[in-house]
Amino acid sequence: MPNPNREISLLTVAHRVRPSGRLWNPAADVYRSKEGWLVKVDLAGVCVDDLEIEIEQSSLRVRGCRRDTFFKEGFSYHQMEITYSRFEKSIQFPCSIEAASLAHHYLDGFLIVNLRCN
Amino acid sequence: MAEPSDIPVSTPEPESQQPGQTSGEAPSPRPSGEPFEIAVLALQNTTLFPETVVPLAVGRPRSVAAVEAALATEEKLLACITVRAEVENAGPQDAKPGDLYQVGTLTMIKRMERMEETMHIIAQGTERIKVLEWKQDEPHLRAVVQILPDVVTVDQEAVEALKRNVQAMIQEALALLPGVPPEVRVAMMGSVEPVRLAYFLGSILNLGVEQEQKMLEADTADELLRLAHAFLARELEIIQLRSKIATEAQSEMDKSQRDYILRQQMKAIQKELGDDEGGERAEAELLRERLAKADLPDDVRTEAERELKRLEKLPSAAPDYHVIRTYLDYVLELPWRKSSEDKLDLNEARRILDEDHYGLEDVKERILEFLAVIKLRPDAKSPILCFVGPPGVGKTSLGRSIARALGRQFERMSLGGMRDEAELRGHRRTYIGSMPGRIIQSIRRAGVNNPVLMLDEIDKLGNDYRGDPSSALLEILDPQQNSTFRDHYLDLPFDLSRIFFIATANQMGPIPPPLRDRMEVIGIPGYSDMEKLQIAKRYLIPRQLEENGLKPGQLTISDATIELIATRYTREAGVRQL
Repeated sequence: MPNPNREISLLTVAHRVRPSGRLWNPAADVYRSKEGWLVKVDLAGVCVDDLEIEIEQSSLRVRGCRRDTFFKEGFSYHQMEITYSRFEKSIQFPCSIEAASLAHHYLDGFLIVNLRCN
Repeated sequence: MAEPSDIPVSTPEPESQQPGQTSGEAPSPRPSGEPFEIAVLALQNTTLFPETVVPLAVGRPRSVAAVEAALATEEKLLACITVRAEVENAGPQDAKPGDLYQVGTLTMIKRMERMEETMHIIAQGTERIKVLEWKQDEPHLRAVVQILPDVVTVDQEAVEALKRNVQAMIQEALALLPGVPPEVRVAMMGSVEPVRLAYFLGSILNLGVEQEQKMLEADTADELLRLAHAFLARELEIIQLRSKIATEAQSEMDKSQRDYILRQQMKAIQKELGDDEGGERAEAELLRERLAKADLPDDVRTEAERELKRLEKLPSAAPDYHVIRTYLDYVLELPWRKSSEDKLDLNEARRILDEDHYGLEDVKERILEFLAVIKLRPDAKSPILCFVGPPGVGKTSLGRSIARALGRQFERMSLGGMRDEAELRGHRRTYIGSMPGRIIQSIRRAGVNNPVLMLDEIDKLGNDYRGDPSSALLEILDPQQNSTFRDHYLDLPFDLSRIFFIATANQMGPIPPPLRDRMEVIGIPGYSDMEKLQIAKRYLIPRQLEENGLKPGQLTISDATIELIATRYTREAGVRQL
């Protein structure tokens, strides 16, 4: 395949293309508390039905899908900066959290995951 | 923002159904194999791989419509499928469904920004999809697609080995490509998953649609890595070759640039030193120009060109440089073939001779006889006359008159007291300050090769241990030999045979007999008293009056007075004192 710009490809394209995972990862803060751990995930606009939280040994995995439910007939996008679709966030803990009790709720748009180790 | 009917009706259905079916236990990972309908963006000349993020500019109406449709879905999903390589150059018109490959990439639009007519989107490839059925192609392409199963690894070791090889090659390539951003280095060199590395390479190597599609359609990590390895190897070779060429060109340019700068500096130094005559190069150039224009005999031209070549190779500081330069100057200035036209009108010649000199009838007759011979045979050898007579009888001025009558250049050189043969023949060029002989110098001054050359006082030639100039004169004055006279300095034959030599002497005695034989001796006797009176009246007194600023009539000298002065006071054969 003749490609006149071949030589500059590595220089120019490499500036633009980035490897990524398959899904996007929301940002998360992890607090250590007397009772255990408190995880705050920047995950506004996710329906609880579309959320899945799993614990596997020392890692916590938050998966799900953020859907845009605001779009209506007659709307058209002018700008989009919020990432939708599937996401996955894995958080590693220094110790096993297999035995911890798990609770989650939304607070001001953040997903709060509470891990209580006894 | 095209189709209001299209977007809300058709898009949300499959999108929402998919998770809906699976939401019971695992809502997010879409199960492969479940067909769903989706808007399709046709890509030209590029392929979007899964697990890569690529910015795209979308401008064509149909593409914009496809993106709009994708944005209207809850998950902002879009299928990116590349136009087949064989049709991609067909033209700007939008591709038909059949022009697209069957395998593409499911893409999530992460960001969108409008800029005038175009939409700039950041797209993230997620999974490979396969088109099952095309639904529509206007206002944008739509198709029922199925997610292909993940790339599987057959031989773990082989894949790992290939990955390490690929990474080694990347390392080599990156060494030659300084412009690659560091995060890309990290992304490629770190402990990356092999498949992701291969896809990333596929998207940055710009392999061409066909090969990119091959990588996209690879079902096993083994095949995918093998392809990536092969493509990267070729790419690396090209990069290395390019870098080599660039280095060579660079070093070549460096050298010529260095030469140029040094030359400029040298010019500046020469200018500072005050000898900037455009540099030696220009000087040689100038000489060459003159050489091309000069009318030279062939052997002279050959010699001159040889010398000029030597000159061009020498730096101007070399001692030989100026020697050669002066020599060439001389060679070029000599009238090798330039001669003046003789005006051979005997009556006119007679008139001029009479005008300049009174009396001397025998002499004038002899001169006119010579002129008549020249007129009959223009290519005849010029005569060599020798005027012998007491001082002041007008030998020298007679020579001048002959030149005037002939219309030739007149050059005079005095041989009185000359002792060195080299003065006539010149010095060899090996000597410092060497110059051509007086003969050649006179010819150069005359500017023609047939002047009247007067050799004054030939009887007063010196003679000592340094040489015998009269012997040199033997060659010069022999019509048989002097057509190829070789000056020591020039070292080239010069034809003297066309020169009208006139020698003068007061006595014949000191002239060596061989020399005397070569000349036609014309004796000029002293003037009689009557003749002196006439000469004084016609030539001398008017000249004296003019030189002293007297008007005719302010001074009168009677004939008797003149006679008295001539016979009693000056008492000479000639009229110099008078």
